[in-house]
Amino acid sequence: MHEQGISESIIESAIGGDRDALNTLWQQSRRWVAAILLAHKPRETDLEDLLQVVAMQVCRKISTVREPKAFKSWLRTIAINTAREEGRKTSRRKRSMLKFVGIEQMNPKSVSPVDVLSEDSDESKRIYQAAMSLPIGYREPVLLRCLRSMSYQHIGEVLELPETTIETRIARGRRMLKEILKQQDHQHDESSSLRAIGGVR
Amino acid sequence: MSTDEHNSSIDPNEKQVNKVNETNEIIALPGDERDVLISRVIDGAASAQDWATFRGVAAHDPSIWSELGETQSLHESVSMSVADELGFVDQIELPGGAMDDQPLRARLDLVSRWGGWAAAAAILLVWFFGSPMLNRQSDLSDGDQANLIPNFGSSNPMLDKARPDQAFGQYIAAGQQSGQVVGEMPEQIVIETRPMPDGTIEVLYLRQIIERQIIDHAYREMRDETGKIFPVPVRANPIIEKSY
Repeated sequence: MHEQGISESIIESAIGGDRDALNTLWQQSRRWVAAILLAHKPRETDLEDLLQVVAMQVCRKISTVREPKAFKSWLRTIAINTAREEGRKTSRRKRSMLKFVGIEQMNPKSVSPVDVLSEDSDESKRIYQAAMSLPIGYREPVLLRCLRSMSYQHIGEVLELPETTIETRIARGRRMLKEILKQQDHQHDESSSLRAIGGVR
Repeated sequence: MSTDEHNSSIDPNEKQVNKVNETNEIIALPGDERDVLISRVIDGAASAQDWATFRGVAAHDPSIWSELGETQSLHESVSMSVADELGFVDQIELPGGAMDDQPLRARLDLVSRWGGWAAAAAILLVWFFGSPMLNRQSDLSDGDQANLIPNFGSSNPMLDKARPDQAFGQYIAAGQQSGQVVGEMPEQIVIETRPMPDGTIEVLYLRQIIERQIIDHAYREMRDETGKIFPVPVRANPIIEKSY
């Protein structure tokens, strides 16, 4: 659904308690909200759960939005807070579970993202993981731009940044992505040649 | 072609790096501006002037074409992955009904007191019997509580006399018969071992029992940004039996 068609009157009605308007608003916003969550969430957190939490928050707190113009940034803030809170919870949970079952002692070598990447033969997954490793200021606009309905202007409205800043960040983000991938290729080549040398000896 | 962020982080004289030919056509761009131009082309946001610049640069530096192709390919790849990740999004609707979660809170308390393994689990699945929970006003009846609490009844004379392992065996057998107990996980997790004064070793270990309940609605316990607990419905797609 095209988000750009959101009118202030719909937002106003939703803030005023109109359930149909709120549903329309949600349907027009949920895709970019999910992209924001994707950019901010910890790797192991379930995106669907997070989006449901945001949906719940929208229902509960829409009346607190002061003016229609603030809606997008309000919704983005809710999404970011939800992703961060869940991230804190997940790491707390992970720590306590590890302590409890003594996995730390049993398996001291943790799996790093690099290990995961090296096992991943799928090139598109590798590219995606590289995109997810971009600094958040670049990752967010790069991912939002992957949604067809999100123009530079619209991304700027959501992130509360000028359109020119958005296009620079997207361009730089893509440049960084290429560099990350090239670096990985280079490291892979180096380790392959080291293995080859070791094999000869 | 310039940007505020771009200009704020580079040498202000960098724009002079743009090389022009005798007809004042731009034939080379500094790094950021080149990247922005490529991005505009990919995103369908290039103006006629941008296209003219692109053609001018490409005429003198054909490598911009391969750069365009490479960036376009990366963008498409990331877009496809993002589309995959967001495939479920259109199914997430706003929750319906009143948002009073007091009945849920009572159930969460009950589960935390009696849930055993469920309470220890990181993600708490709260189960409810019968009607949708969000609009339900009544608390659990005694019968419901009896369903939630494993039947370790100390009033049973057979169990009163049984040793713990016998009582445990009876619980497993009775539970499997009623369908409430699926079984015990074969692996027991050692939490701690310590030597005792008499030369024996004390072992603390975890036994894992899998129980089963049929429920109408499931909710995950989540926290909002203020730390307040609230329920999030777990979407369940009914299994459709295929006929061949």
